[in-house]
Amino acid sequence: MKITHEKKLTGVVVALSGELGHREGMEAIAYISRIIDLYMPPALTLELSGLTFMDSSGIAVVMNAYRGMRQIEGKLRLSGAPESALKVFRCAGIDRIVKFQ
Amino acid sequence: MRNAVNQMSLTFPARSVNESFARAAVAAFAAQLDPTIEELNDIKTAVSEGVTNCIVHAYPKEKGTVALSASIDEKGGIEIRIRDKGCGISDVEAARAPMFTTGGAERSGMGFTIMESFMDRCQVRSTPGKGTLVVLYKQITPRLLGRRTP
Repeated sequence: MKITHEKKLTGVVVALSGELGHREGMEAIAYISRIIDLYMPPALTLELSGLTFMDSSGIAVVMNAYRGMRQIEGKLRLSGAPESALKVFRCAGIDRIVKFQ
Repeated sequence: MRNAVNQMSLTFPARSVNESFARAAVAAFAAQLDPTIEELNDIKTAVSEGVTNCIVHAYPKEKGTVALSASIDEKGGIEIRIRDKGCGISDVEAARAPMFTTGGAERSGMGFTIMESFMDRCQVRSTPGKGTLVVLYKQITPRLLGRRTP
């Protein structure tokens, strides 16, 4: 999996691409945690359009990002999630607590 | 599986690097049923959850192995068996509940819920100290243009 980030005026966009399973999920959680600590952004967008596979590890990635952003009173958004990832998120009710774009 | 028309089996170390190998192997085997992309994704996701459970939970001390097998029946269904010889699950009912995890913040506790939701059947047998067997089944919907015999 590839993880990149871009700082913008409105916040930070973290892009995840490739396959997101257990191993990659742990990497993503650590990466996003560092981004939140480093920039303390008002908004964090997880750009997911490049994901080719995601299991429940993606739920843990989003929940950790959600908790991190809530601690600094920032907002979390998900962008471009493929239909297969949306199915996993819906299964956990993520669509009820995080805004999808 | 009774009346299996094709089958395969694999054994590999319970290492995280093998999770993607396992789901890719089952997806390649299931491809002979001509599943839709969604059906194939469902199978890959369920296998990933089952194998991840073995990798994360089954062997807290010494790493063991995961035995994975898949069978195709004459009705066009696929049965997948994921077995470990690890620590087992003391309370299977609790483990199957949504959001239940003993794996820490990097786990969502949604593994069994996803296996149940994405497959037609999900059975779990576990004995503490001896291991766990997860049996998944999914019927692949016949396409309008027919399907080759597996």
